[in-house]
Amino acid sequence: MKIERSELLRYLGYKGQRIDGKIEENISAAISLCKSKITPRHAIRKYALEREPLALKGTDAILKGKDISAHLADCSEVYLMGATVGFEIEKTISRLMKENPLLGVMVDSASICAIESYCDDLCEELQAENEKLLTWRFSCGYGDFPLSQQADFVRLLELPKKIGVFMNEQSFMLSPQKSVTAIIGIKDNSEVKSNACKAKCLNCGNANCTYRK
Amino acid sequence: MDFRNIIKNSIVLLDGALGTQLQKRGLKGGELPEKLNVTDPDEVAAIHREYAESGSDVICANTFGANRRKLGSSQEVADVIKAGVKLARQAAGDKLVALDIGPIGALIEPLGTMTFDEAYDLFKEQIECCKDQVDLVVIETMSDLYELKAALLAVKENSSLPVIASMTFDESGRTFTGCSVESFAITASAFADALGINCSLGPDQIYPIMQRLADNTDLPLFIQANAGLPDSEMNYPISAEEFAASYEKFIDLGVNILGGCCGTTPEYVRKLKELSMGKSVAKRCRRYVSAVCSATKTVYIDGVKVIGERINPTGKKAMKQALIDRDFNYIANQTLEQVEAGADILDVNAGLPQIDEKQMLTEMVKYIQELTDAPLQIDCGKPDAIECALRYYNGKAIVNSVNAEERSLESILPIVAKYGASVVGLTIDENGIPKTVEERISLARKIIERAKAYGIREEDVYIDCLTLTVSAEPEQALYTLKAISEIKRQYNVKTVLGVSNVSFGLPARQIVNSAFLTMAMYAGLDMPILNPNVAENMQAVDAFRALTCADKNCAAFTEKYAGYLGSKVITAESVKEGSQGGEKDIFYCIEKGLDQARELTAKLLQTHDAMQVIDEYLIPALNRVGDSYEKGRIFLPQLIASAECAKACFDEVKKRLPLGENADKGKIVLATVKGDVHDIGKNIVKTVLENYGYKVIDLGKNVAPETVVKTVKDNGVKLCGLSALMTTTVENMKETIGLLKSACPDCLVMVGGAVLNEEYAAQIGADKYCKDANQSAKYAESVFSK
Repeated sequence: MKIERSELLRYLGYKGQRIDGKIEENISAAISLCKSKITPRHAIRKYALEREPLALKGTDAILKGKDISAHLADCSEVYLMGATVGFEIEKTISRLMKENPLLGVMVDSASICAIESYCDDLCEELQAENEKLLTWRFSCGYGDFPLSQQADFVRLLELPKKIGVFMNEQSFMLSPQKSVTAIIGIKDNSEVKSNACKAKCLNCGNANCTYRK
Repeated sequence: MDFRNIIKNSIVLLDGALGTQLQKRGLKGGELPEKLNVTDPDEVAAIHREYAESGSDVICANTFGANRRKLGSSQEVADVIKAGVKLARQAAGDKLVALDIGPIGALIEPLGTMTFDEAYDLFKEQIECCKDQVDLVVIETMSDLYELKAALLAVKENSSLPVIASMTFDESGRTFTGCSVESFAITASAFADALGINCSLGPDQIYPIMQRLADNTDLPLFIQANAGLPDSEMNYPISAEEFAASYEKFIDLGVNILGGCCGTTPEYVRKLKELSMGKSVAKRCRRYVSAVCSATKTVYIDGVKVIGERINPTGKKAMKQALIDRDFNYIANQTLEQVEAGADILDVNAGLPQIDEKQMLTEMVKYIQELTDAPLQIDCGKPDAIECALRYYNGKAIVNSVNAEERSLESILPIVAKYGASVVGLTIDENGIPKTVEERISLARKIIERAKAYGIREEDVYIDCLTLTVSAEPEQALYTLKAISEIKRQYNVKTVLGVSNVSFGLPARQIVNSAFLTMAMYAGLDMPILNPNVAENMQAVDAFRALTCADKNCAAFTEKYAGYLGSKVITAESVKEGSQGGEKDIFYCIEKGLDQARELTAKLLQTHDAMQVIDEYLIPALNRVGDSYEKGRIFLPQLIASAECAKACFDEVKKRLPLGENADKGKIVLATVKGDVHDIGKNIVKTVLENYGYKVIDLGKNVAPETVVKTVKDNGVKLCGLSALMTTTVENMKETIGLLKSACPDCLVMVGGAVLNEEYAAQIGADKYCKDANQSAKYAESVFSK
C-alpha cells in the first residue's frame, strides 16, 4: 500500500498550483501521520453466480440493476470484498479538524489514498492467484447498482465481526468512513492481460468528475 | 450450582462454535442463525446436545445476535430468545445454560448514530425476557468498550445473574474500535464476574494478549479462541489436538474457563476436557495496580501523573462564560492545549449556579472523551450528577471528591463502587481542615476504610491532604507534606493535591508554587492538580521525573528541553507564533498563510482602530484569497492556511476591542444532518467562516432537525448551513429545512455536500447551494451585508 503525493493532491482538488514550503511540510507530515494511524483489514469470499435473477449462489442475495449484470456478463464466479483502514485514522482526522484543519484535510486526503491503494493491492493479489481475468471492482452506488445492496455485502462477509466495518441501516453508510465494499467478477474464457482496477476512472461514466485522472 | 462459586476454584468448560456448525448443516450465507431456534429447532438442539455430551459445563443458547435491531421487533426478540434458551436447557441436562449476547451490529455515537441509552435498552430487552430461565450471561466478541459497558450495566441493573464478558482483539491487543486490552480489563472488572478474550485469533496469538489481561484484573479469566484463521472457502487450520495442546499454557497462566469460538466443534471441547482432567486452577498473584483509563489509553499511577485543572469555571472568567454560552469550541481548546502540554488526566468541572450541572457535566464528559484519549476526573460533589457523568464515561474515571463527612461518604462511595471509578478523598470533615498531621491521617483512614467497606480497593483511593495558604498559616505547608508521606507509608493509596493555593497572598506566586510542587512530589504526591500550560509547572514535573529515574537516562527531558531558551507560557497561540523572517505586508502574509500576519496586525492596531483593521486589511485580504481560490490560483489547503492565519489576526483585533464591543459579523449555525456522520466538509466550512469573523455555532454531526430549529430560534440566527453526503441523508436535510422554514421563516439556509447541486438544493427548499467553503463565505457576506 502506498500513499502517493500526486494522488493526495488530486483529492484536494490540485490543478498544478504553486506549492509553497508550508503546504509541502504538511503533505509529508500528513502522509507519515496517516501511515501511523491506519489499520488496514479486509474480508474476501468467493461465490458462484446464478442467473435469472442474478444472484450469489448459496445466499439470499440478488444483485439488482442492469449495470451489475453487464459488468458480470461473462462471469460465473465472483469475489465479494470488504476493506477498511480503521477507526483510529477517523478519530485522528476529527481531532485535527479542531486542532489544525490544514493538516486535517491533508490527512483526510491521505487516508483516501490509503484505502484506494489498499483495495488496488487486494485486487492485484486476487488477480495473481487467478488464471482467469478479473473485472475491475464494482461498488454499491455505481450506476444503477443500488446503495442499499451494501447491506448484503455487510451481512455475507460478516464485516462488523470480521473487520470492524458497520453499516447504518437507514443511510447505508459505512463506518469507518474510509471503508470499501466491492464485487469483482472472474471472467470465463479469458486470459490475464492487465489489472483492470488500475483503469477505474476510464471505466466510469462521469466524464466531468473533479477527481478524474 | 452457582456459577460464581464454581469459577472460583475449578476449571469450567464452555462450548464451541455455533455459527460455523450451523453453516456446516446448511444455514444459508447471510441468514440470521438465531431464527433457526424457531424455524429449525432440531438442528440447533442437536449441536447443543453434542457439546453437552463432549463435556461442556455451560451451554450457550443460540442468541448471539438476537436483538431488536437485527430481528425487527421486541416480540420477535422474546420469541427467538425464549425458544433458544429452551433448546439449550433441554440439551443441557444438569449443565448450566447461558444467555449469549453479542454486539448489536451497529455503532454507538460518536462512531455511529445509536445512543448509549438505545444500546442499553436493546440489551435490557434480551435479558428481561429470559432472566429466570438462564444461569448466567455470556457477553462476547465485543469490540466497542462503550457497547460492552451498556451491556454489562443492562445485566447488572436488570438481573442478579452472573455475567462474564469477552472482547475480541487483533494481534496488537486492540479491538477494531481501538480499545486496548488494558482498558477492557480496568473498566470491565467492576461489572463482570470473569473477563475473557474470544474470536479473531488462534490460541497462540491470543496468549500474549491474555497475559496483559491477567496483569490488569483480579477476576477469573476465560478464553474462546478460533481454530485459526479460515481460508476463502472457510476452512479452519488448527486441529482439535493442536488446539487443546496450545490451551495448556493458558491453564498455567491461571485461565480457568475454557471454550472455543469460530471453527471449533464438539471434538475440540472433548480434547479440552481431556486436557483439563486432573488439573487444578493455577494461583494468580494479586496485583496492586492503580490505574485509570479511557477506551484507548491507560494511565498507570506508577509515578507522578499530572491532572490538568483548566476545565473548571471556578475563578476563571472565560471558562465561566463558555459554560453559560455552551461554547464547546472553548472547551475543546482547553482540552487540546492541556493534553499537548503534557497533562495525563483532565479534571472536568461544570459547577456554576446558573446552569444545570448534571446535564452540563455529562455533556462535557461526552464531548471531551470524543476529543482526547486522556482519562477524565469528574469534579463534582453532587451524587446524581456524578452518577450520570460516570454512566456515560467510556472508561474508568476518577471522582473528585468525597470528604470524611458521613453524608459525603454514604452518598458518593456507592456510586464510585458501582461504576468502578477511582475516588479522591479530601482530609476534611464537618470541623474543617485539620491542623495537625495526625488528624489528617485519621480522616484519611476513615475514608479508606469506608471505601473498602463498599468494595473499593485501596489502590483506587487517592487521598488529598489539602493545601493551606502559607502566608496565613506558615507551618501548615509542611504539615500537608508530612501527612502525604505518612499516608503513603501506611496505605496502598495514591495522593492528589492542588498546589497553587499555597502561595495565595504572596508576590511572584509561581516561584512558591514550583518549589512547593517539587517538595510535594518528593514527599510522595502522585497526582498534582495544576495548569500544565504554565511552563514552570511542567518543568518541575519533568525535572522531578528525571531526578527520580522515572525518566530513564533523562531521555524525555533531553528531548523536550534540548532547545530550551527560557520560560514562557505555552498556549496554542504562542505555539503557532514564531517568525519566518523577511518584511512582507499583511496581504501577502494572509495569502501565504504566514504566522507573521499576527504581528503585522498588532502593529497595524497601533495606528488604526480595530474596525479599520478588519475592514481595510483583513477582509480585503481574505477576499483576495477567496478570489484566487475561485480562479484556481490556489487550492483547498492554501485556502485553509490563509483562513487560519486570518483567524489569528482576528484574535489579535478582538484583544484590543473595548469591553462589550463585538467584532463578530454575525451568527451562523452549522450542522451535518441527522443520520449522516460525514463532517469533514462541514468542518472546512466552519474553519473558513470563523476566520472571516463569523460566530459559528457548530452543532456537529448526526444532528436532529429539532436541535437545529431550537438553536436557530434561541440565538436569533439569520443563516444556517446544512451538510449531507449521501442521497439517503438528503431526505433528512429536506425535513430539517421544512421544519426550519416554518418555525423561523427569516432564517436563510445554505446547503452543501457531495450529492447536491443547485437544482437538487432548490428542490429540497434550500435558499442557496454552495459548492465549497469559499462560496459559503461569499454567501454569508451577501446575507449579512444586507
